[in-house]
Amino acid sequence: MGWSKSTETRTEIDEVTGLEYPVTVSKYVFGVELLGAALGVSGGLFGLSFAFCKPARPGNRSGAEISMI
Amino acid sequence: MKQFHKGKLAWVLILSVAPGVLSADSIKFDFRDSKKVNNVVFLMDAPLESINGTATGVSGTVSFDPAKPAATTGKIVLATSSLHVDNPLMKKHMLDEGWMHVSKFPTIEFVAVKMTNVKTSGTTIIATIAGKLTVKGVTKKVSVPVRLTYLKGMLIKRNRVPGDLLVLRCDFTIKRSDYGINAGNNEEKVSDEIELKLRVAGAAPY
Repeated sequence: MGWSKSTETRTEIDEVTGLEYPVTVSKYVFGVELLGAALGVSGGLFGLSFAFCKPARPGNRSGAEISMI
Repeated sequence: MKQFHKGKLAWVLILSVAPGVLSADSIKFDFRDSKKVNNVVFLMDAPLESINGTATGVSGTVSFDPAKPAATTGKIVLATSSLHVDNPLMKKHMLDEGWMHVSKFPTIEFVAVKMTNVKTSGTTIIATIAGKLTVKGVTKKVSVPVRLTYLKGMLIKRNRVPGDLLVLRCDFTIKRSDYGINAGNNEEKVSDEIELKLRVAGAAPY
């Protein structure tokens, strides 16, 4: 997996001369830098989720937990 | 006195006609190609990154005599702006001031001066071509292996025009430090050595 690409180049052969030549077509291919960025953002959001989680309160406990106390 | 003038006139005529006679069998091939088949592939294999790209802005002319292939001369020009890599940011950097500086150096040129070690086998000629390569305003003498294929009468199959084709294949390596292409920098990502593969065909309509 390489860097992102906005074009893709494939090789074709000219029938008369036998020369190999590049044909470039517009095609977006996701690269390793976008994968890294996505992993970084998701990791950040995961970490951030702990900052906003509500602490457990006695009133929210289930009946089974209360009876054990 | 009259005889002197006649003799002088004869020499003038011989000298003026001689170049035409000497180059009469030489065929001039034009390497402009609207189909963009003519191309140069460049490869750079650095420890951290391998980069490959293409360029299709080829033009130029080559004079070739099938009977005297050693006398081949010519010039192949590549439009620097046609250099292409698939990554858009890398392409921008490559064409910018720091690397190829396209606005200041719009062409890469190879002038073929002399052909040696010529070996002919049917329509194929293998030789070493000596010439001058100009990249980014720096001209250096180079000597590179070349394979020529003379396709007599084959132009009609390609361009629907009667004529000949001359196919030229040439693989060689240059150093970007020799031509001042961001010399000494980023060598872990962009290797100093640039492998070039030239694949071009010239047309000579009748």
